[in-house]
Amino acid sequence: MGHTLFEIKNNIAVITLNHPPVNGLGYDLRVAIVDGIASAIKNPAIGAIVITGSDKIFSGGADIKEFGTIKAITEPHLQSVIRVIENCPKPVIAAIQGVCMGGGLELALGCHYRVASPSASLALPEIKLGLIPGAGGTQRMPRVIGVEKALNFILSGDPVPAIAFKETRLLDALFESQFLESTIAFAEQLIIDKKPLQRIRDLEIQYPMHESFLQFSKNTVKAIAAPYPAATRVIDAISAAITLPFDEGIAKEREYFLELMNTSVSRAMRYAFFAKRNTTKVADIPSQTPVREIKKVGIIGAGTMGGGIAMNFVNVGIPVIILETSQEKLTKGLTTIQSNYENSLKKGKLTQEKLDKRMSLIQSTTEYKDLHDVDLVVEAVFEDIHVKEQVFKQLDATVRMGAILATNTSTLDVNQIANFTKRPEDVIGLHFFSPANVMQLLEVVRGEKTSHDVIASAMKLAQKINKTPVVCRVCDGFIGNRMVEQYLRMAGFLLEQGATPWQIDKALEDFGMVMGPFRMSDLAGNDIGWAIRKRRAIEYPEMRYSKFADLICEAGRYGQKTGKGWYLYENGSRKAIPDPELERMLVQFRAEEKIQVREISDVEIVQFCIFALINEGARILEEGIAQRASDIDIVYLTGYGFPLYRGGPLKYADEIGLFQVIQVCSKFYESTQDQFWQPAKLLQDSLAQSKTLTGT
Amino acid sequence: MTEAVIVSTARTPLAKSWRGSFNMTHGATLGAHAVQAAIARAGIDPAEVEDIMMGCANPEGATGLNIARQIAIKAGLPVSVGGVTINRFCSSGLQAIAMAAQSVIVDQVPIVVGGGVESISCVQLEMNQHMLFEPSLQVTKPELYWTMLQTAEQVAKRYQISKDLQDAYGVRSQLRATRAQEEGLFNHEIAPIKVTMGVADSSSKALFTKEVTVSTDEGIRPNTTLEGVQKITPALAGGVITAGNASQFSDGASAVVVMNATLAEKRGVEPLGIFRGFAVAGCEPDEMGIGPIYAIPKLLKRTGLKMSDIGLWELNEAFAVQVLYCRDQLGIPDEILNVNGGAIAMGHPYGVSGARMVGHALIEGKRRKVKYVVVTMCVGGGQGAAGLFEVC
Repeated sequence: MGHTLFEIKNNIAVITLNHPPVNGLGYDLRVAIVDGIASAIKNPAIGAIVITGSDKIFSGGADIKEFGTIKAITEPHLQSVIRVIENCPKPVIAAIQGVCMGGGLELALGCHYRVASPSASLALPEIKLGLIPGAGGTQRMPRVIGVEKALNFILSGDPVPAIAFKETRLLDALFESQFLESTIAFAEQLIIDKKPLQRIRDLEIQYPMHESFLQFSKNTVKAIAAPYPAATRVIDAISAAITLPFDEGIAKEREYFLELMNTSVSRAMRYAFFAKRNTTKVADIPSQTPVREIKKVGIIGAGTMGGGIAMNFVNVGIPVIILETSQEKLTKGLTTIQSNYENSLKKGKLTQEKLDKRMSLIQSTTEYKDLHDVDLVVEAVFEDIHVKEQVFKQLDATVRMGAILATNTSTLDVNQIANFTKRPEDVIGLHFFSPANVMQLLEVVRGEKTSHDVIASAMKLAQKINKTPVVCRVCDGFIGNRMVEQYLRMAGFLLEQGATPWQIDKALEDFGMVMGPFRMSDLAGNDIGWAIRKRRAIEYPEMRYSKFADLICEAGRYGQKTGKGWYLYENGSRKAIPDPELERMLVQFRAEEKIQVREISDVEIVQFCIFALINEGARILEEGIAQRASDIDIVYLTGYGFPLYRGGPLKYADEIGLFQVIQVCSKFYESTQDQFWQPAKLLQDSLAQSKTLTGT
Repeated sequence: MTEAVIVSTARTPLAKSWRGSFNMTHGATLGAHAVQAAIARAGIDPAEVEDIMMGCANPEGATGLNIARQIAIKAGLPVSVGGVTINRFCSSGLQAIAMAAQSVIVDQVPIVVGGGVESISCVQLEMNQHMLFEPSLQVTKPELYWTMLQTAEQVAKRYQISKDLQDAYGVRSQLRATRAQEEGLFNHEIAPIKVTMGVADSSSKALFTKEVTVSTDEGIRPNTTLEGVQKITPALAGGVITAGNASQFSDGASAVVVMNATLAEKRGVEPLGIFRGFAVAGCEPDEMGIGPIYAIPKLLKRTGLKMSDIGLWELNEAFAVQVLYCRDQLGIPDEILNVNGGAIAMGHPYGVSGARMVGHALIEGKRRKVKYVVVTMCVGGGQGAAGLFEVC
C-alpha cells in the first residue's frame, strides 16, 4: 500500500492518499484505496473510514498521463473504486483539504459524507481538456448542489472554495482548524448516532423546469462555444441525471465521455495542455542550472513595446527603469502606461492602491549611466541594426557585468547583436508580442554564444511574469514570424488570383483563426511588413511576393492607424469594413499585371495559407530552430490566434495526416513552381517512417 | 344578420426570443395569460366561452399538442370549453379571430375567444425536421421552401427598393413605437406577466434562472438613429435586409373575446369593434411579402368599400421592404399606416401578430375616431391575408 497510508485511530480507519505530487488517481493509487477499504471492512473493530490527502492536496484527479493507455482502463478504474466506496457497509468520509479536482472530487462524491476545510479548492476541470467528468461528477453534483449551480460549476471548470458550498449537501461539515481531529470526532459521532449511509445516488433532483432551462443553456452555449462539443455534452449529461435512473445516467455520462475522448477537439486540447507544460524544458540545460536573480530591469525605449514590456515586470513587483532619448518621449510613454492601468481600474480589474504601487516602481532616465545597477536590460528600440549596434555598445559600456542584455528584436540577427558587445554570452533575445502586457507568448532566442544560465534565467523569469516562454535558435523571424511570413505571402498570391481580403479573412476565421491575415496586418500596421519585404528583396532576391501589398502601402494605407488598410476604418473604429476602393485597386492591379482571375474556394484558401504554416513549421523543426513540434504549436496558440481546438499547425497536420499534407503541398508546387511548396524533408521522412510530427 | 363584435383584447408584452423574458415560458402559460386577461376585461363568466381558437405558426413542441386546449385548461376555464389551434403562418392570429367571428355569425355561437400564441424561443430551434420537404416540390417549386429572408431580398431586388428607404422605414417604426410607448398607447392591451427566465451573465458567463415581471415590449429601442441602423451588417452577404429593417424574433400571446352583438348589447358590454370581413389571396412564394396587394382589393370589393373609406391601416412589418412595396402599390397614405410602429420595433411572434394588430387597431381607431380599420399581412409560402373591422 505504498500509495496510501493506512492508519487506525480508535475505531476509525484513516486512508491517506500519498502519491505525490498531486495524488493523481493512477492505477496503483486506485488499487491501494480499494485494498484499504477492504481491510477496513474486514476489521470488526473499525466503525467508519476516512479518506483524506495532505493539507495541500486531496487529489488533483485522474492521472491524465494514463489517458489513452491501458492503465486508464485497467480495473479497478475510478468508477469501480467509487462503487466499492459507495457500497461499503461502513460509513466512508472524504476529508478534503487543499486541491480537490476532477476525479478527486468525484471520488469524494462517492463517499457517504464529506467534510472540508473552508479554503479547500474544488473543481471539475474536465471541460478544459474538451471532456466532461467521467466518473459520476455530472450525475452526483446536481443532486447535491442543484441543477443550475452544478451546470455552471462543470461548464466553467474553474475552482470554487469549499466555503461557497457551505449550505449544500455537497459538504456535511467545514472545519477551520484541527482538521484531522475534527474529522475523526465527526466520524465517531456518526457511529454513536448510528447514522445511515448517505449515498448521493439515492437523492432525487427536484427541478421541474429542467427542459426549458437546459434548452436555454444549450442554445446559449452553442452560440459561444460552437466548436467545443464538450459544453453541450455537459448539458446532455445533466439532463440524463434529472430524467434517468441513476445507473442509466451514469451510463450516459460514460458514453459522452468516451465519445469526447475520441474527438479531435479533445485530443487537441489535451495535447496543448501538455505542450504548454513542456516549453520550459530545454533539452541541453538541466533543470538544476543556477539562475541569475532579477531584482531590477532596465528598458530601452518607451514606445508601445517598451511600455508594455515594463508593465509585465512592475505587475509582479519588479522595479524598472525606462530609458529614452528625450524627456518628452519618456513623459509620453509613462502617460500611456498610466492610462492603460487606469483602464483596468475603470473595469474593476485593478485597485487605485495597486495602480499607485505599480507606477511607483517605474523610474525613467535619458542617461545610460543610470542603468549601471540593473540585472536585466530589455531593448525595444527601432528595428534597425545600426540603432541596435549603438544601444548595445552603450549597454556594454555602462551596465554592470553579470547582467543579462536582452533584445526584443523580432527579425534581426541576435548573434550579430550579441557580437556588438564584449559579452555575447550574456546576450539573449526576448521577443515579446504586442500588446506586450497582454500577450502570453515570449520567444526566448538563444544566440550561438548565449550561456546556459542566461537561458535558464530567462525561462524562470518568463514564468514569473506569467508568460509562456518558447526557446528558439536564431533564424530570420524566429518561429512565429518566419512562419507567418509564408502565410501572408500565400494570402497575397490568393489576392492576386481573384480572392478579396474579406473572403480570405472569412475563410480563415471560419477555420478558427482569431483574425484573418488582412485584418491582422491592418492591426499590426502594413508598413512593418513593407519594411521587412524591402529588406528581404536585398537579402533573398529570389523570394517572390505579390506586389499589391506594396502598392497599398505606397497609397498610405497602413491599416487601422491610418483609417485605411486592407479595409476601411471609420472615425477611429476598429471595425474592418470592406472597401470598394481597395477592390477597384485590386482589379486594376490584376489587369495591369495581366493576371488571369479565377474562382478561389474557401477550402483552397485554408489549405494554401495553413499548409504554408505547416510546411515552414516542419522546416523550423527540421533545422533545430525549435526544440519540439509542440513548442511551435504553442507559439501559434498563444501568439497568433490559432484555434486551440485544432491544437496548432503541426498537431493539425498530424490530425489530417502527413500523406494528405504532402499531397497538397506537392500539388501547390506543381501549380506555382514556387520552391517553397516542395514538401519539407521532415514531412517526407516522418511519413516514410510512419511517424507523426508531434508524436501523438 | 348576426353580427360578431369584439368586446375585449389583452396580450402579453412581446419579449425578445432566446435572450428575452419568455425564453423558458411554455406556450400554454403565455396563451392562458392573454386569454384569462381578455375574458376578465370582457366581464363575462368564463364558463360562457364556447371555444378557444388560437393561431400559431409553429404548433409543435412548447406550442404543440393542440396548444389551444392546453391554454383553455391552464386559463382555468371549465373542461366544457373547447380549443382549436389554427395555422396560416403569420396570419394565424388574424385567421383565428376571423374564424371566431365566423362561428358567431354562422353557427350562432354566443362567445368565442380568438387569438394567437408563439414561442420562437422554445420551438424554432427544436422543430421536427423529418420529411420537412417534399422532393418533387423541391424541384418544381423550390421557392416554397425559401427562407423568409430570401423572399425579402427577392422583393428588394425585383422591385428595386433601396436599402436606404428600408433603413429609414426601420427607424420610423422604432421611433413611432417609442413615442406610442411613452404616451401609454399600448397600456390598454398589455397585461403584465410574471415568469421565470434564463439569464446568461455577460461577465461571469454563468447561466441561471430568475423571476421577472414583464410589462413592456422588449424590442423597442428608443435611441434608434438612421446612422446606427445603416451600420448593421446585412444578414446575407451582399444583401440589403438587416436586423434594423426586418421584424424581430419575439415571443408572446394575444387574445380577443368575440361575442354575438345582440348578446353583448343585452349584457351592456361595450364592444371595441365589429368584424366586417376577411380575405386571403395567394401569390408567388418567392415574393411572399407582397401578398397584401392581392388580399386587400378582394377584401374591399367584397365589403363594398374603397381605399379612402379606411381610416387606419395595420400592415404587418415582416420586412420594411414589403411594407414599402405594398404601401405604394395599394396607395396607403403613410400617415395612417402603422401609426404606432410595428413588428420591426415590437417583434413578430408569427401567430400572435395578427391578433395583436386587431386589438391595437381597434383601440387606436377609436382614439382617432375612424370608422374602418384594416389589418393585413404577408404570409410565408406566398399569401396575403386581410381583415376589416368597424370601430365602435
